[in-house]
This record gives sequence, C-alpha cells and structure tokens, in this order.
Amino acid sequence: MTDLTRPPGPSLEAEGLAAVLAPLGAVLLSTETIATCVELVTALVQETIPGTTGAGVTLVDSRGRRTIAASGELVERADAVQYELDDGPCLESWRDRVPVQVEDTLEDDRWPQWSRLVAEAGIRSMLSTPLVAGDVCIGAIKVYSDQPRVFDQRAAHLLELFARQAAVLLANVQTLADARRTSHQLTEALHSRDVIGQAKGVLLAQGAADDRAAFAMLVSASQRTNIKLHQVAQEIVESVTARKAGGSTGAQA
Amino acid sequence: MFATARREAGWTVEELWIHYLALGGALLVFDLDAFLHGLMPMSDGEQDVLACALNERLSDLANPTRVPYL
Repeated sequence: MTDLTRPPGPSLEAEGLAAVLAPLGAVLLSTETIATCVELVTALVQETIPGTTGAGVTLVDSRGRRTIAASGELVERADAVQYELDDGPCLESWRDRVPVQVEDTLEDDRWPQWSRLVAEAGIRSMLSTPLVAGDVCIGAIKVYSDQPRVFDQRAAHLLELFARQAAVLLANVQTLADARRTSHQLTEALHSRDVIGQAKGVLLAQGAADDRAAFAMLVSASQRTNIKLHQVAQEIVESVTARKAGGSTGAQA
Repeated sequence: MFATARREAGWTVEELWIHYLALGGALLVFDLDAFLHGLMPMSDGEQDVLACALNERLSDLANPTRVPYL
C-alpha cells in the first residue's frame, strides 16, 4: 500500500511511531511487571527499525540490578560478551549517554575483542542508544543485523525517538514497582512493630522498668533462643492471649 | 560502626529504616540518615533498636560482624 500524496520518509516514520506509541501507552494502564515491559519494548523496537535481525534492552535500576531482554539467543550472546569484557558499544552508549553505531563488525576496530566475537556469531552491524528519562540514564536499547551497513541516519533517528518514549515508560514502571515494594514492606514493618509493641506492654505489666528495658529483654531472649525478635514478641503475645482465652472459657464453664 | 554495618548488610538507608521501624524504632528516615553520617545524636534505646535490625540482617547473611548493644 503506497500513499503517493505524502513523501514516503516522514509518512513511514509517523506510521511507525504511531504503531509504537499506542502499545507503549496502553502498558501504563495495566499492571505489567518490569520484566514483561522490557520484553514488550524489545519486541516493538525490532518491528520499528527496518532491517533489524535482533533487538535487546538492558534496564538498570537505582540499586544496579539489571533487567535484560533479548529477541533471541544471538542478541543474548552479543550482550553477554559485553558484560564479560566490560567493554563494547552498548556499554559505551550507556556510560557516555550517546548513540553508538557499528557499521560493520568485520571493519570496526574500536572494540576489537567484542567485534571479533559477535562477527563470529553472525552479527555484522548494530545500533545502540541510551535510555534517558529526565536526567537519569536507566539503560540502553540496541538493534542488530546480520548484514553490514543496514542502519542509516533515519534508522538512528527513529531509534532515538523510540528510546525517548520507551525510557519514559520504563522509568514509570520502575517507579511503580518501587512504590509497590515499599508499600508491601511498610505493611509488614507496621505489623511487626505492632506485635513488638504489644509484647513490650506485656513485659511492662510483668515488671519491666521501662520501654527500653522491655526491648532489652526481647533482645536477650532472641539471642538466647536464636529466634528473630519479632517472632519472640509474637510468642509472648500469643501465650498471653491463649491464657486469657483459656481463663474466659473456664469462667464460662 | 553503624555506617559500616549498614554497608555490610547491603542495605540502603531506606531499607535499614524500614527494618528499624519494624522493630519499634521511632526516628524518621531523614534523622536516621543524619545519625549515620554523625550529624545527629540518637538515644541509647533507639541505638539498640538499630543495632538489633542490623545484627539480625548480618546473622541472616552469615556475616560475623555485630553492632554491640549499649
């Protein structure tokens, strides 16, 4: 299907971007995990950039944990080689926050070890661009081809536009995951804190001098028995409530 | 000593704070951070709670480092 009323370049680009943006937007509305989101972006970029044989996305969170998705074994291998060597175009793209292009792995001599290894695996050209959200670089996105000189200026431009949108999406999903984790941890923390508070109350009623002394008693019991402090507190509270339950049943009988 | 133990525990200040909170600690994360940087004092009682949070974590990691109780 050819639209003769519009120049092919911008039209193709607009169509490509529209196709990309629609699914990226939809993800925000659902509750995708980081992993599925990274996989989705990987699948989409492969369809967006013409001539791509394989694509990969590396996402790094604030604690340095990596989430990696690759469209196939070839890309997985090419990525792994970089991390083993701690050198290569994607790592440079990420560290220096610049797009990096390798026109032909058989000729490019900037990362000789990496070029040799991926050329042997069948990769001839690649394009990598950093994922920058706000002023934080959260990872890199890259496309590979089994042919040399596949990616032109337009492909580089398209990948950058794509990366800009993907970075916003991935940063949001990261924030959401962080918030969910924190809220879960806080709920657990408050429950534990409540039980410990109750146990300290029991100890105070039994003659502990003050809050600090009650806590010290919990610490010694925990060290002596090698049971976590909140577990010790739980047992104290349970023993008291069990006694009361036993007592009230007795009174009713 | 607390700052070293926190690094060995592999926790961010926020993570340490949540575990300290779970054990009954009363300070805000901001104040805890200031204490770890030596910018603010902390009562003996609060220090014991903090020590307990770190010691339980280090024990889980089979790390022999311990923060002494006051």
